[in-house]
Amino acid sequence: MAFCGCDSTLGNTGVPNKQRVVSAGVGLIAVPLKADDGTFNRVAATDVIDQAYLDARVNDEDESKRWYPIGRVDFRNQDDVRADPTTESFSDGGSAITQQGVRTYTGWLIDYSPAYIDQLQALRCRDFGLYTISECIDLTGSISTDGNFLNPVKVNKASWEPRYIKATPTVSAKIQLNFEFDQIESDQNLRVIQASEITGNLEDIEGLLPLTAAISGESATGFVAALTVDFDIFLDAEKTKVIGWVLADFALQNKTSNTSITITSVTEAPDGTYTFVIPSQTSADVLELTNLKTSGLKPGFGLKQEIIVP
Amino acid sequence: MQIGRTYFNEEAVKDMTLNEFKESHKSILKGENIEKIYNKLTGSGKSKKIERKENPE
Repeated sequence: MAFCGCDSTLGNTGVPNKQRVVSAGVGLIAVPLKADDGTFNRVAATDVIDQAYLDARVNDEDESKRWYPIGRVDFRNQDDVRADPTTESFSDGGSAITQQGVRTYTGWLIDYSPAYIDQLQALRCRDFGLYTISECIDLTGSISTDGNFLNPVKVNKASWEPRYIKATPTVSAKIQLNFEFDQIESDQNLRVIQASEITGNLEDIEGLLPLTAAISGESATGFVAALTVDFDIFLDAEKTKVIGWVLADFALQNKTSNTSITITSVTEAPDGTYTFVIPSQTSADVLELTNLKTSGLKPGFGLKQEIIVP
Repeated sequence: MQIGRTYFNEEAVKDMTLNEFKESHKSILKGENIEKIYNKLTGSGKSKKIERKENPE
């Protein structure tokens, strides 16, 4: 990031009585910078941040538009600082700043399972940014050039490093998250939506709970899916079964033909095991079973399972 | 429509013949009267009842 803007007069340096300061985030919300349809994921200045707004972002059926809160707004020992700038030294002892320092973040998620590393590492695969949530439950992002949007602050995804620290007699188990914000981001663009301006419950915002579907009995006209909350439990008998779901909770897509499949029937027997009957599909087509999050009855869960038609 | 532990999409069932319905649900609706369920889901067989109500004599 170079220092620009020397083509004008000095800016007026007065300040209002009340200013909005930025804190290192105790909560981080990862957001893809751009959706698959080419639109930018950002908060508009005209948006109303109520519970419906937050629910819609977290449960968005389109993964490329979804918000992914990291952990439970419970980062500890967070450190969010910009390093000293790069300078060039001259023979007379003077120097010139040539580049701003990198802003780095470090934070701990205490008593988290190592399995959560898997979810975090997935973020390295896509350009994304972060909205941060302060201890005061303010939401911070980066203002767009036209001033009409609050963008997630771009992260240098290559620097994204979740690291597991095991418990010892003197320290608790934790995930330490280290990363750099992108050098294109400038601190002067950070803007805060204060907690008083957000009617939704940002303090308790959480990402979707990942589910696992063990698929069996595949045929052209159906399959069986045993649904469990399979976060970090090894023994099958101990896994929590997902029970009581109905036809309206599921969606099925033929990924090969990119068409939606109308499920004919769903039968739950035994608990947590669902038999699906569907119209006949072409051999070798790839289907994707998901749960409806916004129009269905099961927000808060993230089911995504591929099935290959035999 | 829910019948037992099975949730049906009635419109999807209407696109099936009785034989197709029987074949696709034989492992689920064991021992049950599949034809009766099919008729219930598709509305088949209702017309006669309606005729009797409208023309009781």
